[in-house]
Amino acid sequence: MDERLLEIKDLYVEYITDDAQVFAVNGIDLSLNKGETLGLVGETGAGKTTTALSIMRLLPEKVGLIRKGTILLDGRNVTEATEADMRLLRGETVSMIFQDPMTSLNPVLTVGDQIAEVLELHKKFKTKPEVEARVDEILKMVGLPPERKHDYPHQFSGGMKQRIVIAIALACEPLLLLADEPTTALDVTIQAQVLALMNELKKNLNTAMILITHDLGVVAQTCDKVAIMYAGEIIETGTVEQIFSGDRHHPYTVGLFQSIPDLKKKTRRLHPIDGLMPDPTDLPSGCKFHTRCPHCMETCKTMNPQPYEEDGHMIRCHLYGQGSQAATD
Amino acid sequence: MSKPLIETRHLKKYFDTPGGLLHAVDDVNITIPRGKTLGVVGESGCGKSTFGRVVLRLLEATSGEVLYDGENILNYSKEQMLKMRQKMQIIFQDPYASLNPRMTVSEIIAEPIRVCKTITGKQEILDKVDELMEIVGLAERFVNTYPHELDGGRRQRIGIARALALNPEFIVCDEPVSALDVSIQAQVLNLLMDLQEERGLTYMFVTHNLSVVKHISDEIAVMYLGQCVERCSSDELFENPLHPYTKALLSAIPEPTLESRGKKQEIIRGEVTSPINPKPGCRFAARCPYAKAECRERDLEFKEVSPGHFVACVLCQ
Repeated sequence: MDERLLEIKDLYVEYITDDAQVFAVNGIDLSLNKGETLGLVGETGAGKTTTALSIMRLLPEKVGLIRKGTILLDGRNVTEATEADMRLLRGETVSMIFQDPMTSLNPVLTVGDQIAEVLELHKKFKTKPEVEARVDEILKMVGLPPERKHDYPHQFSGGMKQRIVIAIALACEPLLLLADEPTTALDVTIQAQVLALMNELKKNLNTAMILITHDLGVVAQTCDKVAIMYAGEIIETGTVEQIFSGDRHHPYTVGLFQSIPDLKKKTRRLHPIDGLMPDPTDLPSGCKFHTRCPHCMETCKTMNPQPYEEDGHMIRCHLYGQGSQAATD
Repeated sequence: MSKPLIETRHLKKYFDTPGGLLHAVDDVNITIPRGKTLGVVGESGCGKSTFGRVVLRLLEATSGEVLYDGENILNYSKEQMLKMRQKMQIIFQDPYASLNPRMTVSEIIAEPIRVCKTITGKQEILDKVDELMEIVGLAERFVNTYPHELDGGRRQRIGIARALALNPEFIVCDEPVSALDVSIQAQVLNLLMDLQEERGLTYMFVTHNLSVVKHISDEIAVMYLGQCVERCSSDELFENPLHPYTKALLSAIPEPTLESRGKKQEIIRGEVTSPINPKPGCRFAARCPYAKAECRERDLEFKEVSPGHFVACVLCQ
C-alpha cells in the first residue's frame, strides 16, 4: 500500500554568487509515500523553498547548483534528468504552488487561457472544446464560477487568485504537489477556506503534498508527517503525533513551539530562542544550532550530530543517541 | 474611574474614489485607559491601519473626535500638533520600507529628536541614541550601519527605538511583528511588553494575528469593513465571542495542537465586500450564517450586552 513516491538522499544545494558561496541545503534525507502530506517547517533562510525548487529543478540557472545527492521521483532520478524530461514531469507528475498568488499569474492572459495552457502542453485533450470543458470543470472544482474564465487576474481577489493557482497546479492531476507557503499572503478566514479546499482535493485526487510553511498551526491541521529544517538541515522529522506530543524533541523545535503565543493559556512572557539564524555563507562548525542552543555541550561545537531514530521519529542532536541516554533519562 | 488617555467618538474617515465614497472607518468609538493596550483586529481592508493613522492625525478624519487626555486634538493647530506628536508615536508594519535607506541607524533614531529639538547638543543626542539602542537591545556596533545591512528583527528594533526617542505616552503599533519570523516575533513582543511595564506606555496594537493580539492586549476591538463589530476584554472575547464574525475569525485560526486536528471548523463563505458606498444595515450580513431580513434594513446599535462587552449584532439586541 505504502508506495514510495519521493526519496531524497543526501542532497546538497549551493548558490554561487559573485561574493559568496551560500550553503542552502546541507545533506537532507526525505521520503514521502503516495497520498501523504508532509509539512516542511522552518524560518526564513532554512532552505525550505530551495528544497522544493530542487525537486522541480527550477533553481536559478548557473547560480543554484545541486552539489551532491539524488532525488528519486516516482522511480526517476530528477537530478540527472534533461530539461526536456523535466518539462514533461513538471505539471504532470509534480507541480508547485508559489507563495504569492499576486505575482505567479500572468497579468496579460485570461485565467481560462492560463489553465488551458497546462492541458495543451501536456496534450491531455485533442480538441479545443474538450480543453474548454475541462477548464470549466477545474474551475468548479476549486469553487469558482466557470463564467469567470474570461477574466484577467487583476479582476480577482487574493483568495480567488490562489484558487486559480491551485487549479493550474492540479489541472493534470499530478502525483506530487509542492505548496510553498500557499496561505501566508491570505487573511485567516480565507486561509481556512483555501486549506479546506486543498485538503478536499488532495483526498479526491490522492495527491501527495509537501506543504512548506512556518505556521505550526497550519501543519497541525493538515499534515501527516513533519520535517523541521534549520540552516539547511532537517533536524527533526516524524509523524504529526510524534512532533506535536511527547517530550523528546530537538531544542530548536522546543524553541519554535515556545515562540508562539498560546491561545489557551495566559502567559506574560514568551520564551523565544535567543539570537539569530546563522549566516548561510559562514555556517558554524559542529551542530549548526549550537550557537543558540540552551543545552549546548562541548561536543556540539565540533561534531555534527548523527541522526538518532526511534519508531521513525528522527532527531539530529547530541542529547540523544549513543552514550547520551543516561543524560536524558 | 480615571480619564482614558485616548478616546474616539463617532470617528469617520471616508476616501473619495472614482467609484464613490470609500468608508474606511465608519463611526468607531473606542477608549484606551492609560498604561493599557487595545488590540485592533480585522482582515485586510477592514480599515484598522487607517483607524490607527486617523487617531494620530497622520490622516485627517472626515468627522468625529479624537480625545487625548480629554482634549479633542482634531481642532489643534499645526504648532499644537507638533507638541502633541512628541507624546504619540507609531511603529510601522514593514521594517524594510519604513526606514530611510540613506540614513545610518543613529541618524534614523536621532531624527525625531532633531525635528522636535527636545535635546540639543551633538554629544547629548549621541548619548541619547546609545541609550535608546541599549533599551531596545541593539548592539552598539550597529550605530553607523545602514538599514540594508541588518535583518528584519533588528530593523524593527530601530523602528521601536525611533518611536521611543521622544519619550511618548502613546504608541500605535501597526502590525509590528507581521513581517518577522516566529522566533524573532516573540523577541520583539517581549520587548514591547517590557517597555510598557517600565514606562507605563499605552499601546494601540493593530494586527490581523489573533494569537499575538490575545497575548499582548487588555482589550480587543474587532473591525469589519470600517466598523467596530465587537469590543470587550481580551479574555472575554476568546471565552465568550458573541458576534458571528468574531466567532468565525476565532474558529479560522489553525491551532498548533493535536486536539484541534480534524475538529470541524466553522468556515465562513465568501469574501469581504467592497467598502465603497456600502448598503445600510449590517456589513457582515452577506457572509453571515445567521443573517435575517432585518439585518439588511437598518444600521445596528453598538450595544453593551454585559459590562464592558459591546456588540453590534441583531442576535444580541
